[in-house]
Amino acid sequence: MDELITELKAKIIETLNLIDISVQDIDNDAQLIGGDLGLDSIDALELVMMLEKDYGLEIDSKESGVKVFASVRALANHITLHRLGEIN
Amino acid sequence: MQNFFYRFLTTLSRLMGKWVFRIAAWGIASGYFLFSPTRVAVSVRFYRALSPVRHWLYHLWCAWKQYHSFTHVFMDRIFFRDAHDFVFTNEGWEYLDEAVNKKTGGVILMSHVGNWEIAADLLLRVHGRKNSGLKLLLYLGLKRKEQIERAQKESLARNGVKIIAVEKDGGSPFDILEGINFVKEGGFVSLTGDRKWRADQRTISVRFLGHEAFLPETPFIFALLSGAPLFIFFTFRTDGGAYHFKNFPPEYVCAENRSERRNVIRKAAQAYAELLEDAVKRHPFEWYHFEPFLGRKLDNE
Repeated sequence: MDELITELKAKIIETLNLIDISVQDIDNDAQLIGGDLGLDSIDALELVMMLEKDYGLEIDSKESGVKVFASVRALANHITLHRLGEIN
Repeated sequence: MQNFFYRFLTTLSRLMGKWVFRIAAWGIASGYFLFSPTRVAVSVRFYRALSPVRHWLYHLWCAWKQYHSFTHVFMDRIFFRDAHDFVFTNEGWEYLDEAVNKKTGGVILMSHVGNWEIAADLLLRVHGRKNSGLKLLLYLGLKRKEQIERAQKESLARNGVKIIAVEKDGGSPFDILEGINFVKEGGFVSLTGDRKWRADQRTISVRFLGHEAFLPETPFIFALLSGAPLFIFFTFRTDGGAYHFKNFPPEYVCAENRSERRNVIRKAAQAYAELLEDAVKRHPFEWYHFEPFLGRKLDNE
């Protein structure tokens, strides 16, 4: 899980071109969208596209978006569950 | 209290005739004009930019006309029951047809020109009969959604138009997610091109009537990320109460890499600003924006 969290942080930085942010700067449990990173709805859109492309994960509603992007840890949990679902 | 008065007025108008609403609307529009000097100043500034050589009294008169022209929007919303109620013409709906047939989906960029709710309703009632694949999602400011007459909301819902109301302050940054999925499924999402719906929304600078103006970036980013074509759409109320709908050929907002994005979005936004400028020059009393829009004068920069 820690590996996935680190990977996701790097992906977030790369996808959103967060030049002055490092992996260490992103708190695992801090609010991702609308939080201290200053990410907004457009960033959310970009992350949704990234999730679909790189992890095969679709975020199909506002409610899902709120849950999945609650934090990096929540995002990692969601991806893990999605992968388990695929295996099953 | 306001809702009660509005419902009372519309009921009375349906019983006694539209003249009741016309008279009341004239009074209300005049009241807004006389007692909202800040908003009137915004309109006067717009008309000064539109006709810089004319006297300030002319600009004030234009603002007066604009306020009274806006009453038509409300009247048409209330009394619109059936497509036969309105005479209308259209240009460019074949581009939407093509997008529906190819299942590309699309982003429809609307403006506060004319009456978009009627356009959306007619688009589906008349145009949608020919092409049942046309699905439409409207993003509207919450206040605007509340202004839509209940009967028209029901009509829009019956014709399959989905409305998402976005609160001006607050609201969720995830409101946009339903739209991207809608487009991916071949639907059409309508977004406002000439006004932000959230205070913290990102904007892009354009040139408009010789001034700097800031347009919401969302529609262009939406088109870029979804890959869907962008349609610029205007509605105009012509003489005699008829409507004309104009849809421009689709544009694709594409960037080969991230560093190019800002540039392509700026070009797309400027193209829209130029079409909007042309539209307001042709129909100067039908741009019901009423919010500060013009920034600093650019002269010949």
